[in-house]
Amino acid sequence: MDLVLGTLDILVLRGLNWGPKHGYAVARWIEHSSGGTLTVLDGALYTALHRMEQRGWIAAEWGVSSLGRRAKFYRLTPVGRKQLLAETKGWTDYVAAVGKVLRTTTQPA
Amino acid sequence: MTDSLWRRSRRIFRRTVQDDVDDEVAFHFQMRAEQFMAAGMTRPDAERAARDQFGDETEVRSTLVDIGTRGRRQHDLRERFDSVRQDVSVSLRSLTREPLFTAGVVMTLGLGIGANATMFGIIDRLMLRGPEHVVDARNVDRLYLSWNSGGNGIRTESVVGYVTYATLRDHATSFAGIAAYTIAGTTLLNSGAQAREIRTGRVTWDLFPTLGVKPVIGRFFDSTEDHPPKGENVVVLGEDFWQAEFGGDEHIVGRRVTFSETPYTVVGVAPSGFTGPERARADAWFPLSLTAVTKDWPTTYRAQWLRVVTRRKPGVTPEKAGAEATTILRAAYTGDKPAMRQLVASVRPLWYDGSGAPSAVANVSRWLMGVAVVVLLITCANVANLLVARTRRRRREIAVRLALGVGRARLIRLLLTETMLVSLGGALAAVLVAGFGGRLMRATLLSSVAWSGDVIDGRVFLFTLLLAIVVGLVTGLAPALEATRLNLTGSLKSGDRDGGGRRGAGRAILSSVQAAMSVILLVGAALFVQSLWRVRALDLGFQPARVIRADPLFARAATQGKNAAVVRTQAYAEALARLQALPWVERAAIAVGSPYGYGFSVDVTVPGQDSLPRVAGEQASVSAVSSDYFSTMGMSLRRGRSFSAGDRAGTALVAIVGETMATVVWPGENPIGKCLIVGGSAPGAPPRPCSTVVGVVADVHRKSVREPATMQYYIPLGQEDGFGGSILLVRPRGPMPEAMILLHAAMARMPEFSYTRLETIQQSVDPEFRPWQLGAAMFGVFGVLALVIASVGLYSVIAYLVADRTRELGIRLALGATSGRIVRNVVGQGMATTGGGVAAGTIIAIVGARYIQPLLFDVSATSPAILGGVGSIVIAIGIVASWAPARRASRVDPVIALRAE
Repeated sequence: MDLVLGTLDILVLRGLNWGPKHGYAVARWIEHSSGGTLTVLDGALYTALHRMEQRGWIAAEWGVSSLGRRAKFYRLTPVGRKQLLAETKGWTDYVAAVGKVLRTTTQPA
Repeated sequence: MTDSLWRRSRRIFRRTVQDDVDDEVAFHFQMRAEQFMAAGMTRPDAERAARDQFGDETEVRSTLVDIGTRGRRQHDLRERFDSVRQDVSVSLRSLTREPLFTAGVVMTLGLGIGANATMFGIIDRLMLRGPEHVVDARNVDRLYLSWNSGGNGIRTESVVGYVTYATLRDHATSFAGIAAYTIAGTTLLNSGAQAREIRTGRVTWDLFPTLGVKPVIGRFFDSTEDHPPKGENVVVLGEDFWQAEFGGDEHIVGRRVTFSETPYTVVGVAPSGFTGPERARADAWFPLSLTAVTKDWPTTYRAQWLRVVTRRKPGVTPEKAGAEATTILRAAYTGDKPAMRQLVASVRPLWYDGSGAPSAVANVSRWLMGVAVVVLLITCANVANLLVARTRRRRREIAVRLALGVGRARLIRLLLTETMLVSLGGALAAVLVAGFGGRLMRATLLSSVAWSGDVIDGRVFLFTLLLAIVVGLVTGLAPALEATRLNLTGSLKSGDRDGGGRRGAGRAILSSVQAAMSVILLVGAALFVQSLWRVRALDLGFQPARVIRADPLFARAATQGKNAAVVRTQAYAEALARLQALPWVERAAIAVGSPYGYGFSVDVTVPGQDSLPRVAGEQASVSAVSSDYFSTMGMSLRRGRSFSAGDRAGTALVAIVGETMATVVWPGENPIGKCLIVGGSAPGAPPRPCSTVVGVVADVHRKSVREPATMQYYIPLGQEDGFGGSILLVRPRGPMPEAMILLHAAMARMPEFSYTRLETIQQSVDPEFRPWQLGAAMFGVFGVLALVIASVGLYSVIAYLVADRTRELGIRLALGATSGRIVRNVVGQGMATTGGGVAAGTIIAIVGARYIQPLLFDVSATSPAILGGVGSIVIAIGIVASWAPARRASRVDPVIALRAE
């Protein structure tokens, strides 16, 4: 299933909510947590990461991965955390609203 | 930042960003490939799958690099801006902590820079930019001719004939434009009681295109309207005159306006502020060819009444233009002066005077600029001193910062930021100073120069700003470098306790130099002020401020006909009678020849002497005057009687002589009753009869306040022969301004006169005071300026010495010295510094006295009263300046002084 436009950011932010991750780990997390139903091109993921870094939502730092390799780790900034909360609420409200409409059985007047 | 530096820094960002992206993507591919291989793929399949999973690798990479580079750059800019802002706010805080220091430096800089801004503004207007509305003034010059005049050596003149202009116009190739004009004149607007004089320019049609001026409305006259022998009756109005007289009427072009009883058609309006090459305002511009000075004026070399302005073609040097003009004019000369065939023509800037030398105003301005630069140098030294003293006070703070790892470069930048801030403050103060100084200069030095707008404009403002930045760098860099080159441990331990003895001496010497300069300038000021007083108080032998000179122009009817001369004499006599009958007129007289007016001399002898001796190289001057002349002028009668109504044409010939003439011609004798033979007689003709001397009056100054006594005598009006040219002299009872108005009205009621020019004689005398006024103002302003700067400097030196000696003074106080003694000690130090400067300045003033003596009036340049007075004032100010730090020194708490830093 392809991503709905504009939802990649919120997924990435959510992924980083559990602690600093490098790009590959974020990709894996999205695959895992969606049960493999969401497919994101890795290039798009990195573009999102870099864009959000410039916006100050996430911060990057070079570190060492669990396998001892040099990797770039991203973590949420306080601004990013706020952004995540706001977008999460926006998303759930949206989903709820769309769902409600789709479940409606009455005929329009 | 230079372009290449910018590009290089961008390349560096780009490379590191690129590396990061490469590393990150490589890591990602590695992880993905391993993931797929763990799922059972071969390595090539796994790597391909990883790439498929990634998307367009090339595009993504370049997007990532772009995002990163842009981010780095923004980040970098923000950081730089932040650090500047931080520097500024730190500096502001530290400056406001010491408001006295800050105010002192800003004020000193304001005065020093302001003086220079003023002079720049004036020199810029006067010399660099040329008169207003003149386009590209660098190529615009005035023509001068030099020739050998025999007895008087080489003469250089700017006044030439029309033929000289026409020859150059037709043959010279060096010039893009050439035009001739007369030096300002007047004409009459309206007639009768409404008549008044307006200022005119009479110019050839090509003046406007040569200078590059554009009309406000309409056009300027052209070659079809201005041509010999007689041009058309057209006129170009000045914008201000058009506004004032015609309310800026848009439809003025084509209208007829009457000047001096002749109608002229208005063709256009010249812009406000346009003065032509001479910086003389004009209300109306007329074609030159309407002014026929002689019948053959277009071709003769005898009539010379024009100046010529030229515009060189681009690339033509003044030398080349002059050489070409020389060749052409020598070849064309057909006049009767052989020397003119060897003339040398030259073109020189418009700010040169009529005889080809830099004008007095320009000279004085340049001289003042020099003095202003010296004042600025002293200012810089002073500010640098204050800054050094301040950074010394902050040694510990600086040492702490250095110890905490603040970079030296950063620290220097911080200190420089402070200096730049005070410099900019100084620049603002300087603009105020220049505004005031400019008005002062224009009132004294430049009152005769037409000039619209303020001294301060964009150029002067920019100059001030640049100067302030340069001054900030110059004065700030040395102290900043010095301050950051510290011995860390020593400074941390001892603060500002020790060192500096040598520099203390240097600072004291600098302070002495400042005092010396103040003395020199103040002595100059005092000498000029006293000259001005003396010259104002000078008895000219008459009362110039109480006498109005009325010089009437006759209406056309009175100047025509056979007996015009009789008509005129009659008109004067009637006018005098009418004026004398007016209640507000105390006295009135008619004179042919009067002080600061026309002067005449005719052959005069006494029986028994071949010719009268000359006094001061001059013959005796004669005036023919009506009976009330002496009382009108306020001259005192020394002996005998004055003229009476019975002394006139046809009655017995009488004369009154001046005191000098009486003693020169009849030494030791009573001149009353002696015989004076006035007027020479042709050979063979019968000798002229005697004029009997009936009285002796005081000598008067005839031309200038600085003239030696001359021989003068008077004869009754009507008994003169061979000279003429009457004016009316009126001595009112009430105040002058009212009398001028009343007299104007009274003269306007007399139908014989079309217009009467009125002036108190004082108005002719006043311009003579200008050199002394200028000298007094100039030396006064710069002297006081130097004194203020010097006293600030001295204050800082003493304050610094006191701070340096805190421990020593503490020990003294602890050992029982009284605070009075400490004050005396410190003030003594200040006095020694000032005293040395005063002594040096006084010696220089005495040595330089002979250079300034010729400029003074009746004051000795080595006047002990002035030298002593100025010296005392400067020393007194020195005491005052060192008093405050001395008081502070005496209040040092010994315990604190010994324990603390």
